[in-house]
Amino acid sequence: MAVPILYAVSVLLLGLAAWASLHYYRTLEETHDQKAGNWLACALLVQTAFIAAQWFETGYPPLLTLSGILMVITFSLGVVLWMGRLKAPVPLLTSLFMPLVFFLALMGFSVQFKDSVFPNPSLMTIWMAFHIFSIFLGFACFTLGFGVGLAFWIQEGQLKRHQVKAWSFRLPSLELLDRLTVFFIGWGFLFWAVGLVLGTYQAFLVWHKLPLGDPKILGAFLVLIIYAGFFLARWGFKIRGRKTMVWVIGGYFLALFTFVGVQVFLQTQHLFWKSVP
Amino acid sequence: MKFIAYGLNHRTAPVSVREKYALTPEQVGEALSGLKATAPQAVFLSTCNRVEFYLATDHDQESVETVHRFLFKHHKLKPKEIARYFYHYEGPEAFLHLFRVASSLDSMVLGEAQILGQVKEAYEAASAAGTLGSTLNGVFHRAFAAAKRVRSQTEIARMPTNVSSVAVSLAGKIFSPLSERQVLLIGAGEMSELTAKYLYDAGVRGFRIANRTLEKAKTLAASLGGKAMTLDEALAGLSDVDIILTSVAGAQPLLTKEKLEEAMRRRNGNSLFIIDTGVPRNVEESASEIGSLYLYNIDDLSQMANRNRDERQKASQNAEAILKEEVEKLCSWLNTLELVPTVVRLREKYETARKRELEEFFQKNPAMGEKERKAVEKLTHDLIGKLLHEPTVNIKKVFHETDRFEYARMLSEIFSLFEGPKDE
Repeated sequence: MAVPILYAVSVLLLGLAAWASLHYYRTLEETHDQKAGNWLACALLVQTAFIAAQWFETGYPPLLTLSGILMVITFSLGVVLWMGRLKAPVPLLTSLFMPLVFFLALMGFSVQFKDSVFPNPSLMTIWMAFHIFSIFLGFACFTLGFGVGLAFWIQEGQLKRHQVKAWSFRLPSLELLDRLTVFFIGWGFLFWAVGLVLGTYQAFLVWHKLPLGDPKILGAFLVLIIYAGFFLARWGFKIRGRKTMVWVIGGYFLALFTFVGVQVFLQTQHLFWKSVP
Repeated sequence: MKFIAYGLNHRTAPVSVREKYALTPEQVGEALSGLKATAPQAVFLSTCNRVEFYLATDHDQESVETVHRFLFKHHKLKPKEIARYFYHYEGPEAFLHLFRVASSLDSMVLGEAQILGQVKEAYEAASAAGTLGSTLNGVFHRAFAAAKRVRSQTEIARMPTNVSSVAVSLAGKIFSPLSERQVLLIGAGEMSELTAKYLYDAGVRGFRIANRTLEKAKTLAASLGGKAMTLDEALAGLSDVDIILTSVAGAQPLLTKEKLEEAMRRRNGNSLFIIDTGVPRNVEESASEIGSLYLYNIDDLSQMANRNRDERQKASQNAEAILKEEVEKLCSWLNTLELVPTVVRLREKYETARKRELEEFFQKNPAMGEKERKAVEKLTHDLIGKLLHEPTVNIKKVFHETDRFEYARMLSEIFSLFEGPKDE
């Protein structure tokens, strides 16, 4: 009984955070952004309690149901958003992402706690859970990195063309957007790489071969290569500005396809859904 | 009580008239004291663009005449001129005028920030002179809140409209924090100097000033706390600066694409912002093709300033809508204030009647115990409360001013609220 209550409370808190962040967007009063941050922190605490309670109750993290997975995704986005807030105060980022986080949490709440999506009991190991968590956190980082990178791309274009629009005066400086992009992509790279290694290792343990034909693993690997290219361009070739953001935006679309597209279009090709030999 | 806004401004009167009424703080105090007899609540706002009195008074005609007498001590106007230069707003129109003034919708430069401070100073002067009653206090507080709402919820004050502040705001869109940046001033043109001063105000402290005449560079460097240098020294250190303000005379561009490409390489691709106010231009146009280099010339900045002015104009439509909403809120608040005496009197009358009847009742029934007495007292008290609840709530809902006064008048007449006690 405690688990659904915790879920409901966390959705409510995320809703309050989204409401406060939208209020900030409308009024530009920083107190509303602070409120949004406080509600988000409370929501993250309740979500942590939810994950722990679910783990205790079912013996596995909440990755067995669609609602549980959506909760973990919103939790990942919330954690990364919080990390971004600690790195640099950009209230606009919270205003743009908080409603999305709330919407996903609400979707998870509406599908209730049913429909098991874990087809292979032999994959239900603790390392598999870490793989999923790590990939979710990585994807959340890439999502925020994409948002910030896109803002950089747009603002940089306006500055180059001498066409700075009224709305973009709400955006922070290019330098800050650049720092945040590197921050998100750096953390995303780390989480994604750990998730990829753990997932590949799990598949190797079960199928006794490297899953080279799995579109998710291939896509995830390509995503890492693209982002490695981003860091190489910056630190190796000292390329800055719009050109590097092409890597960020391109990398995100591939990550999105790997994360969601493969699930929708090529689900049967992913080893996770195949029966264990 | 009427709320009046009376005065003249940059739209109605020329500066030759306005300057005659530019008063010292002592004269403002004198003006407010003179008004006390006819308008005990008065605020006097005097800026270079306007001279205005805001009055809450029961004697509007006398108050305006007192204002005239006071102003004409400084400069006499003919009746025709008074009609031409002065405006007179009352009620919601006057509120809207004050709100527009405080939000800088009535300013010469739309969206300028100074006027709100000036309105606050006028408010404080009235408070010090003891002419700020509860009505004006409430009205002005709402004007400040409305101005704050306009500034935060519209783009009216967000986009700079003069060339130098456009340059500084662009620098802020590229770098953060701005205070840690190094600025190079090449040449000592008026525009560059002004922009450098704006950058200084924005917190920048790292200035390098290069000029063909080193003495001139030293003078400017002293005022900005920067370092003076020769042109050659400045060009050799291009890669160490983040913002370049250039304005030197010369037929050939001083900063070529090649030189800047080299500087950008040494800067590891970090952004460089160049403001070229020289005519002919000091920076090769093709330099703007270099990635992370943002090149603006004087025309670019002027165009942006003009565009921003247009944007402010567009934003003023949203601001007007906000102010109308705020005026409506203010009117409803004032409506309730005006009805308070009627409602209070009505309740007092019922309460007096209740107590009198209870006293008679208790005298006729002396055997009644304490418990029963209290029960009867509570019953009558609750009954009066319930009977008066709905009329009290409904009368506060009446929005239209005429209706409101009519309701209040009818209540007063039906219940003889404001008559003295009748002989029984």
